[in-house]
Parts: sequence; C-alpha cells; structure tokens
Amino acid sequence: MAQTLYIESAIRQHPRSQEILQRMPKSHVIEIERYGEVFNPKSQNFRLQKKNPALILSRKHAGYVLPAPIGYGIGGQHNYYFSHMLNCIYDCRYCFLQGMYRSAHQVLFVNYEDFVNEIRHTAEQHADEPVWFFSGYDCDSLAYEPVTHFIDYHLPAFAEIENAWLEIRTKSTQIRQLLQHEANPRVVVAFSFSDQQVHQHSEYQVPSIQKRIDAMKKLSDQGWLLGLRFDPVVYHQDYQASFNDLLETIFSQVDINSLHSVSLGSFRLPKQNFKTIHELYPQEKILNQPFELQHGMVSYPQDREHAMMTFCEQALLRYIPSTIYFPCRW
Amino acid sequence: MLIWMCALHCEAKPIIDRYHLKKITQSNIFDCYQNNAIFCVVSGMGAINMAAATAWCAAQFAQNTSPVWINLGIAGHLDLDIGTTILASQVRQVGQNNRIYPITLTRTTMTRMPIESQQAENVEYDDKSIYDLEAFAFVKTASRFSPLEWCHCIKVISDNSSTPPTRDKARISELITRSMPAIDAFAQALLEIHTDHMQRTLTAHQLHRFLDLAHFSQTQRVQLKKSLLALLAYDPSLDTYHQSVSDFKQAHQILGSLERDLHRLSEQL
Ligand code: SF4
Repeated sequence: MAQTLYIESAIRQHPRSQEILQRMPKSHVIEIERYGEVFNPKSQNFRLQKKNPALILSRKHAGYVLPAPIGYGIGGQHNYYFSHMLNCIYDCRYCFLQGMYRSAHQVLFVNYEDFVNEIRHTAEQHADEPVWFFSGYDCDSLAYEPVTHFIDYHLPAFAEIENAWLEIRTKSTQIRQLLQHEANPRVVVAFSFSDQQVHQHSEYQVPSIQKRIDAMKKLSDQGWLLGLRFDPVVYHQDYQASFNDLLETIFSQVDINSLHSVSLGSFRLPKQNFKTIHELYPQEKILNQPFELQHGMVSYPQDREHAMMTFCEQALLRYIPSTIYFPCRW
Repeated sequence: MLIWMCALHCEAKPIIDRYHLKKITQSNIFDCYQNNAIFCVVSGMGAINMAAATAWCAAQFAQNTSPVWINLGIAGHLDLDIGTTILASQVRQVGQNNRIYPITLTRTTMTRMPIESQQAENVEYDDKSIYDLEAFAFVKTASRFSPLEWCHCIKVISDNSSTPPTRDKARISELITRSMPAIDAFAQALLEIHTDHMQRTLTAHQLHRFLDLAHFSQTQRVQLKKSLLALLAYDPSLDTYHQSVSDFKQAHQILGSLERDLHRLSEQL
C-alpha cells in the first residue's frame, strides 16, 4: 500500500476519496491543488520512484474516453479506451508507461461517474452496434482493485449499456470483486502473459504465471469470458521453447470454451518512448537487443519479427480456432 | 555524494561533529566542510544566500553527478513542540503559487509537513505549515541539479506561539543535535539508495580508457557511452571489453565489436 497519498483539495470530501482514505489509514496524506503539480515536474526520476510510488487521488476533467490505437481491437469495429488510473503497481521492463510519464506515482481519478457518462454517450453514437471499451491501457485494470473498487462501480454500469462491451486487461490476480458479481457476457477479463524466462527477468512484482492461471480458472468456473494476451512477445534465445511451454501450461488448465479472444504482438515501442526507457534502464537486456526503426516504432528487425510472429501464431493455432485469434498489427 | 546545506554555522555544527567534517580551506566564498563524499556548506541566512550557495556548490562539487541534497535548519510552527523534527512534504514561497514536492523514497520517523518559506522572520504562525526562510529557494535550486528524490529539507522546530524565535546559537545546535539520530537514519537510508543507483553509471576514467584508443566523433562518443554503460552489467571493470577492442584503430571497429558483444549477451535471459 502506498506510504504517501496526495489528494486534490477539491475532491478531499468526495465519497470515493473518503472511502479510500479509510482503506489507507497508515498513509501520509498531502493535499495538493492539481495532480500535475506532483506528477508532471521535470526533475524527477521514474526509476527511483518505482521503489516507493505514492497514490494521487484526482478528478479527471476531460478526455474520459478515447479512440483505441490501431491494432488494439479484438474483432469489433468501434474501439475505445478509458483510464481510471495512470501507471501500474507492477514493474515490467518492456512497459510503455515507463516512457510515457515522468512520475511513477499512481494516479486514480475518482469521478467514475463522468467516465461512465461518456462511455454511455459514446455507445449511443453507435446504437445497435457493439462498441468495445478497453480498460487497462494506461494501468493494470485490477491490480489496485482493493483500493479502487473499480469493478464494483463499473460492472453494473456497463450491464446497463446494452451495446457496450468491456475488456478488463490485467496481469493481476485481484479477482475477488469480480467473483462477487454474476458473469456478464459482454465483459472479457483478459490476462496478459509472457513466457517464464521473460516473466522472471522483466516482470517485477507481477504474480506468477500459475497464480494468474488459477485466477482464470476461478473466473471460468463462474462463467466469465476470458481473453489471453501475448503482447508483447519478447525475443530471447530460447523464446520458441519457452513460448511452447507457456502455451502447454495454460491450455492444459484453462478451458478453451471460456476463451473469447487471444491476441499476439511482438515487442515494439514508439521511438521517443523507447529512448526514455532505455535511458532509465541502460543495462536492461531486453532493451539492448538489435532493433530497427519502422514507421516511428522501435521494433525487432523485420526478419526476426516475422519469424517470431509466424512461430508463435502457428503454436497458438494448434490450441485455438482462428476465429478467436487477433494478431496485433501496427 | 551527500551535501548538507545550512543557513547558519550553529545549524551546521551538529553535522560537522557527527560526520567529522573538516573545513575546506581553499573555499573563501562559502564556508565548506568535507569528509570524503559528505559535504556541508553554510550559506548565510535567507533565500538569496541559500540559492546562491546551492548553485555554487553544484558547480564546485557536483559536476557530472546528481548528489543527495539536504537542507537542515530550524523553523517555527504554531503549536508543535520545540525539538520536533520535520521532513518537508511540500515547499512553497509565501506569496507565490508555485509549490514543489520533494519525493520520499524511504520510511522515516520524522513528521512530514509543508514548509512555507518567508521573506523575513515572522511569528504569525498557523498550524498547517512550518515557517522558515530558505527551504523553497533550496529545493528550487537543488532540483536543477538532482531529481526531487534527492532533494530534501529537514527542519527542527525552534519556536512556536509560546516560545519566540531564538538567537542562542548553542541552543540551536543542541536542538538539532538531539534530532540527529532520526536525521542521520534518513540520510543513511537515502545514501544507500543513491550509492546503489550511482553504481550503474559510467565513470569518466572508464570512458576515457576507450576514447584513448581511437578518434571518436561526437555521435560515436554517445554511442560508445551507451554501449559501455550497458556492458557494465556484465563486467563492472570493463576490462574484458577493453582487451577485446584494444587492437582496433578505428572508432567504428570498436563500436561494432562492443555492439556485437552486447547483442549476444542481451539475447540470453
Ligand atoms: S502489468 Fe502491464 S501496465 Fe503494469 S507494468 Fe506490466 S505491462 Fe505495464
């Protein structure tokens, strides 16, 4: 739990802020005017802050729902994302958030109602068509659930918007709140995985592969639709054997019938983002491999990327039908 | 490297005693004391003196490095007990909107509170902040040279609504000395993180060993630095890599060889 809790004066009395303050009685509370005062100053170091990130409670004022980046979808025509939080309690070395913000503090926007209003409004613009809303783009959707109670508010709200589909993307095992709700057929809980070697080497504080599989099994037993996200696949000498092991471990335990979608993408980052992350972690192995710049993105050389994607795709399609397979094209 | 910044001699004395600092004789602008990588500088009272001393100190002792900075001194508050030790959670210059938030990486027993820096001594206290003269100027200047994780203000309460500000130097030193266990614990914990962090940086000596082998353009220097920094993870002395390129006469050959080593090593997780 964060030792320091910054809170915008204007939302100190907000019921959700009050509940969170009660859940974090030991945190030192510091009042601020706007979250940017703490989150945006130049003179801070993301890597150092990751050692002890604070929680910032804030109100979002605009831009609650944004069009999802190309290649992010899982079969839908209309794709949007929303972020009730910025940053993540986990620490994956390939994560683009490291290069996105100057601060590693977690920002939580407590005005959930405004997000849902805009989600409703966006869904209305595509009436009678399914509209996808992705949570977990700027954060991990569930990792901070014991503090945020995001699920308790958003699940009933989504249930009322008839053409709205929700993807909850996570590497967390915080599923207690989900299990207290009935499965919603328009909600997909998507778990991200890297192979064991990448997990061990580059995913700090992330629950083990087995624990995530256990969480998936519990959700599947209760009827929840599941997603699998193999994105990014990170290159290393043994990636083929490790990826096969990972698939074997997952598919020997997770019921394929509970799978809504499976996506796959290789490691890539926007150029500036990669540069920032490499400066933060100049000795990180996965950032010191050969890369190429393609369309503004730093990625593996084309032949390597092609070989990886082909291999992983063929391996995946031995377990799943192509109808639920969505490669991330960018 | 840890630099203590104090406005007054009597505030610096507990630091000088505790860390056995010796006066640096060649400095005649500000009084400076040193023991290895610990420095203490006496700026004189007020924001302008503190800002000037901090900037001077950075130029003097902290080129190419981001030291830990701690501003230690006394402060006032409405009703906090005399001797209470405060770690700044926020610093603000009275009359300005701009606030800065030093970032705490370690647990501390010290109370955390906002500090309001004033133009001159003032006894119109309130209970929300503590009052000093230099904290804002210090953090604003120090954070140009080090990230906010390395810039902290610690103040010991010397006056409140029932005890007026004191000019008694011995009393001020004594108040700070009594707080030194908590202050030292905080400084040591911070230094430990700092040392660990700085170990991952390339020294000028390490870089020059390679630069001496050939002529490097500016771009090639940047590339060399990057490769060496990454290779430090595999051989902290860099001897292996120096040996493997020592016969090359051209910068591009050296860079190519280092890059191949790096790629090979990076692909084995
Ligand atoms: S779990 Fe996801 S959001 Fe969190 S650090 Fe890892 S990649 Fe980033």
